[in-house]
Amino acid sequence: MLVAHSGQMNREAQPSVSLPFVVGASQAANNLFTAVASSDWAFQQTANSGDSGLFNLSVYIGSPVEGVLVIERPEAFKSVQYLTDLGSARYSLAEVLTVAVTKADGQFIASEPHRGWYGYGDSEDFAIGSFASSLVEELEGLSEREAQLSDRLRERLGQLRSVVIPKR
Amino acid sequence: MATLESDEVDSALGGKLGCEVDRKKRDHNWYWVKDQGRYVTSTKISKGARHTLGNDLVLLMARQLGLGVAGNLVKFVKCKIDKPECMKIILATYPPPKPPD
Repeated sequence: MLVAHSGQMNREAQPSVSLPFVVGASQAANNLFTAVASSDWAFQQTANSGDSGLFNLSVYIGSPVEGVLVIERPEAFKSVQYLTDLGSARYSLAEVLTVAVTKADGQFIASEPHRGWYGYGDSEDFAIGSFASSLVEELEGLSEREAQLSDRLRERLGQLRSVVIPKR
Repeated sequence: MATLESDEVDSALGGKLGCEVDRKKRDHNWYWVKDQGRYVTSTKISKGARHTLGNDLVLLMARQLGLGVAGNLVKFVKCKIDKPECMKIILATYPPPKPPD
């Protein structure tokens, strides 16, 4: 199963959010989670390789994406999405981001737990859109305040600058 | 279960905590926490209508702010801890730089 999303989203409660180009798919059966993604990037495939009941360990292998994703709350886990673009006219991604989408209390949350980045919304698409725009907004907010940042926020700015890069 | 309403978090962060609130960004309002002239941490809330922030989201916001656990953010918003106490927790997570010797 392959699902591709693109375009603009609209919702009554919130202003429209531009949606980054995301491809992803998931299928859960017998505790097996698989996801595939294909766009300008090479094909990727992931398979769930461990489920302790307390957390879910997913090892994914592909090009250019590979690594390990730990899902802290597997009961809330919905899917893995590979973010290849931010939907921004000014910025692009220097790397593919692996984003876990969970659903709890009626809300979808898209997060990259290693770096504490997240976004949320009423649907998976809105959560991913919020995640992507948060990266750009935080980068701009930190850059505007660069001269007065604590060491911690300076480090965070450096982390964002290495991933969110201006389009040429 | 820690849940909060977006508008009560907005007024607690912008009012009681005295955050610099940036409402000019497209999708989120950003709350910047300052201490002694420097920005120490920040968090965000989606723009739009009032909405409930569930437990997982409150936890993410609390971590982002440096409050550690969801309960600390809830206590602050519900006025069970005051600004100095809240700042004490944040600054314990993000300590100020030591003056040069």
